[in-house]
Amino acid sequence: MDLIDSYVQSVRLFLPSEQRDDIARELQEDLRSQVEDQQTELGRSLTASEQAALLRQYGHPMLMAARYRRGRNLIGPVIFPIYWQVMKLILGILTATNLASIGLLVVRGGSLPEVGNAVTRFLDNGLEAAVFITLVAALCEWSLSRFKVLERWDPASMQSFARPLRTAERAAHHAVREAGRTDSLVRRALDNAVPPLQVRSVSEFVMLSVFTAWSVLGLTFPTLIFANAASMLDWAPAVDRMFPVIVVVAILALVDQYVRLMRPAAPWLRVSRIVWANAGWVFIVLLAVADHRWVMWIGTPEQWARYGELAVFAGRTWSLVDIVNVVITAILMIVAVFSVIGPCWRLRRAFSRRGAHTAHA
Amino acid sequence: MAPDQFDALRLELRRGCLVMAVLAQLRREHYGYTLKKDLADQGLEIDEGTLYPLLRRLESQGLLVSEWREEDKRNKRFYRLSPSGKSVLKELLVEWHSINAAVDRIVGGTRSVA
Repeated sequence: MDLIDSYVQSVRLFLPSEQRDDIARELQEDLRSQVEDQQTELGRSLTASEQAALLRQYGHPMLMAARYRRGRNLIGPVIFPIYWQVMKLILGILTATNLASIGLLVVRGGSLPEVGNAVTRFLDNGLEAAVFITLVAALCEWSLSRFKVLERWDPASMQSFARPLRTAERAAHHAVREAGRTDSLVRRALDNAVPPLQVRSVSEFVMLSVFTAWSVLGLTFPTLIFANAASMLDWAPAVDRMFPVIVVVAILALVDQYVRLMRPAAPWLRVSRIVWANAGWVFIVLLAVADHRWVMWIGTPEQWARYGELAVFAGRTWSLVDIVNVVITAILMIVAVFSVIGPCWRLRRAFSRRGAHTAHA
Repeated sequence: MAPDQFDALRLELRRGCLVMAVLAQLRREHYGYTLKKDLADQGLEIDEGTLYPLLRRLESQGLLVSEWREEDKRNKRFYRLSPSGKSVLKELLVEWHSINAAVDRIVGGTRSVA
């Protein structure tokens, strides 16, 4: 995969889905014609910096893709694709937790006004989340254009996308041969294979900002997470004590992502990647030894009568608090495991992409 | 004048002209890259980031038609003026000539000041 392919793929990410393939194909074909033209003129193939110069005329992939979108005024066309992803994600989570709590209320014989209240609160929460995400997106759009982040784009920053794959492939083959030493070698290969691709960083940064803000807010305002059940559940003291740590880690992650965005070639990014990968292991260990009491009961005795004994399973009675604690543990476990195996998946994808490219050539 | 302000005014001035130039050039069939080259050869530079979305927009407005076809062992998307594009172009050119003549008269009258 060369710079041109990387560029077209990046633009493709941000195109309106219904025209995505057609536009990407046209862009690819015309870029290739242009490259061939210049190659015929020069009598040799273009260097990476010549390809970069060509791409600079096209502009940052997000800007290029944004020009194909028209008539969206609330959120500008540059941020819109990311904004929409975040909106679907957050509203999806809100809908899932709210439907679960409303469903529970109905099953446990909630009265009509109670169910009505829960539904109203659900709609209120949804509306608040939508307004919040829109404000953040508008702020992102404003700062991207105010500080001309995308205009200062250098196509050569995508180059690492193509080059390290060979190194990674060699390293991985070597690792396979040297079975038993797989772990550290694969990790080194991963470090080469996951490039600081600026385009992906933009969307990761925005997603992470919104998601972090939402979860930190959720720790302060339990309604955002527990929906209707917030009148009975609150975060346990242990979680409250962890709050400053969570905020600090979230801020560190944001700073890390921000540096990735502004200076994709910064040398300490390799270090930060290793730190984050290992933080995943620490997280798993901490989870394993934690007492798994994330939430506590603050409801009334009447509510306890309804939700105190929800199920009998594995020889014990499960209350709402127990079940929520198990669900939170499961979600945290999944997040921890993914934060560790994520890089492996990226490496695999990088390989299959490279394989497809070789087959095509 | 700040360069940003000049750029914004220049962009505004060019926008309508580009549409007209593209429509006129597409009386003969082109694909994106050769269209850009032909326009540049005649003195009108237009960057790809502007040209491609413009072609899509004009097509969605029914002023252009396009088809994928193979040329030089490459599949390319060829654009040309549609019948309604032809009549719109004709009207635009009449408008353009009248604006051009008027602006010429006005600018001509103040040329000594400039």
